[in-house]
Amino acid sequence: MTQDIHLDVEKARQEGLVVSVGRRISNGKLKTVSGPRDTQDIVTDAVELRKYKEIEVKGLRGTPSMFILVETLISFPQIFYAYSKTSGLPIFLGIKRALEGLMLILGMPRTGKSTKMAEMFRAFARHGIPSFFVGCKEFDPTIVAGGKSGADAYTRFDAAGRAARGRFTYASMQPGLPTAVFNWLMQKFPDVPPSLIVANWLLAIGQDGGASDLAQRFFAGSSHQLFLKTGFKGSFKHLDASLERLKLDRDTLYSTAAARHIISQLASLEIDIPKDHPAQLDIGSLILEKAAVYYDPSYMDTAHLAVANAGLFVNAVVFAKRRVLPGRERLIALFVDECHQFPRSFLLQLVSQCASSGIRLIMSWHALGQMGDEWEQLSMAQVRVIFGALAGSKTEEHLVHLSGTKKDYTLNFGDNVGNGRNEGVTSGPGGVSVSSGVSSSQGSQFGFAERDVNVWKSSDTQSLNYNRNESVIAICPGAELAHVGASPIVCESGGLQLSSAEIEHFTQEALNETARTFSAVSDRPTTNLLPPMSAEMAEKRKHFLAVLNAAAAPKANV
Amino acid sequence: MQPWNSGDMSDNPTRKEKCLLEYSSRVRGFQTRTAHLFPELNIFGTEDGLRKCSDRMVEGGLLACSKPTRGQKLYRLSNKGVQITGAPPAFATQPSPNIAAWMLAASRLAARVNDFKFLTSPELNKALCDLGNTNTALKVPIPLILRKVSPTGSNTSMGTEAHLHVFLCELRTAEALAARAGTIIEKLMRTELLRELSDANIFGITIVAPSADFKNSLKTKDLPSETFVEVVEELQDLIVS
Repeated sequence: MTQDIHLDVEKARQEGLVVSVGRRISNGKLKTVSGPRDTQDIVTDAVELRKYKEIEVKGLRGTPSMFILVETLISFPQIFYAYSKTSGLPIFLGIKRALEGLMLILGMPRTGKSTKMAEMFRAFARHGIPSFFVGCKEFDPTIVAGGKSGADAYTRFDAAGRAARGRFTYASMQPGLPTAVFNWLMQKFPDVPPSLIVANWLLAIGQDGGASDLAQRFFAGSSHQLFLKTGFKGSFKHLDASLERLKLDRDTLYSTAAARHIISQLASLEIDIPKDHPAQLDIGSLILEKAAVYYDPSYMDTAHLAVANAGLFVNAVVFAKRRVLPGRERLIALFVDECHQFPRSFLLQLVSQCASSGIRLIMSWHALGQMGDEWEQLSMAQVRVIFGALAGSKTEEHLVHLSGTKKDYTLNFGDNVGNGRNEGVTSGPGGVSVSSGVSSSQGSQFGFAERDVNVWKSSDTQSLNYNRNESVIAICPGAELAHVGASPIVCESGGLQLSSAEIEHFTQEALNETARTFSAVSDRPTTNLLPPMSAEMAEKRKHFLAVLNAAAAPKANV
Repeated sequence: MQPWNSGDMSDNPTRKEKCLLEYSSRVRGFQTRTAHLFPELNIFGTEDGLRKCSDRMVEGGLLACSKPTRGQKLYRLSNKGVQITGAPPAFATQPSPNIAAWMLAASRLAARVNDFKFLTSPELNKALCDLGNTNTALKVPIPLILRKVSPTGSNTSMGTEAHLHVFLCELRTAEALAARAGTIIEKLMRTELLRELSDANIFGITIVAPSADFKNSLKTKDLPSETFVEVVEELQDLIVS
């Protein structure tokens, strides 16, 4: 697939953005950047941006630069995505409009989805937008480093107008990690009627039955009634114990079994630390702090319980966002990685309603096929990115349709040569006549046959799968700096935005921040931490130990 | 060994009964589900065998029993059992909820013979006399046990040291329990011998928690220097909800 894209500067200007390709806009102080890291860093750094009038972003391989006024970048915060493979033009995604209609990322494992999401997580954090990342798989250092490095950067202003940094925190269900703790029951739901809390809880754990499945709604209704009676006070362990003690008739036991089992499973994994413990995550406060938060329900360790936990976390985020930052103008970012391990009905609701709540949803799947029959509803995104597709899969078919058709003119030509020879002998009363003749003809013709062919071909899929730094992006409708045409664009990342050394460094820093994390304490006694004792005390210790060891000797036992 | 005083008994305890009496004099009381884990009580074969023998001893007046609101019967020494074993007379009284919790925790943890040694009253007195090089045992108002600790922090029983520990098992909130532990240690440190033991890093406290979460919660509190927290989930039966 080859396409030559161009930025529709006029459309961008109509939206209020001042941008130019190939020539400067102003005479003010210019900052020139090239490469993905520097480009991302400058457009997401409100503090640094204010030192300049105009930014020049160099394209790939010496292609013309893009010039953007700083006022534009401040009024319309952007995230650098990648470069167009053919034109070298940098592609930017505007937080206000281009990402308003959600972002869908598709790609097989190890194609770079999570890395791209981590880069975007970092960019959102640098913008000072509260960002929440739910990675359903396992604790991922790339994401931790993305969030941590983004939050740690002095790229925003505090209330007093000074350069400020943000806060990064993470909670992981992976055993053995020091971690903050997320407990849905510890979130604040002031003035929310109990019925709504129960309804949202059922939705978050994937037990609400959806809008169309009436049979499932029977079970959801029965569970709703049960949990309205019990309420959600205390911990899941208490709730589980209350449910155990509750006398329920046979029908109710049957119809509420799924929801009760989830309570029981959540209780088994619940870390019950006090509400005021510094490691306890309060999502509302984190949104107000504009924090970057990574939550890892760790499917690899907790299996299907990760699904319910991921749902509960996102539910808490949405609930808290609507409470502490109401309105669609005040934004937060919500990343859901590995969406196939997320409650389906809840995701459907998120996809359709996130934009109106000011939530920028970025979600990743392996393939469209994972979405099942609801693929159409689940893949309704303004920005769609494809990192790879299996040959012959639904995702590849989607790519073909997404790219549309083009007129193709097939050349055909012909060449013909004809030779003839005749000989005749005529005999009659008048004598005999002999005739001989030779004839030859030659012709050539050519022409073009016009036909519609697919822009995207199987060989393009193979090329996409082969090159790890390539992806296809489609932004429809175009917005802000992403007025780059209706056709998808093959992009080149241009390199990593965080090196592996930086990933290791920031992950280690995050793990070492123990002030607000909780660690399952080992049984190791603290005696080794005590200071060395005097010689006299060492002698006494020997005597004490001799007495106590003798008393503890097995022979004295029963 | 136990100073058996069964001279005035019409029917002398059998070998099995003696084992159970001595076990009771160490852990104060037990449920059969916890006691049958104790290696020396393997002689009863099964938990049911242990229960039957305990019931017979209750009928014979050697043991007494109470029935908590939930869970199994809690056996303890009777007055006669106390006389025979030389255990403190308080062992025969009806247990309060906290004493019941202590019994249950002690009988559960006593099964871990590589980690714990629950001393009888004479054994403890002897050990305290030996520690202080005196003939009169120090009076300690709190139950003390021997806890085997690896100086390297490893989980193996190799090269362990026996440390003297306060055994604290009370049905309180984590915060209250942590505060109680602090108060106990602070008061015990007024005694010279125990202070010296503490300075020698062989004195500490073992706290019993009813669940792993409770333990985690407890560990976030300010606890004395050498503190171990053990989980005994059987205690949950004693917590009235």
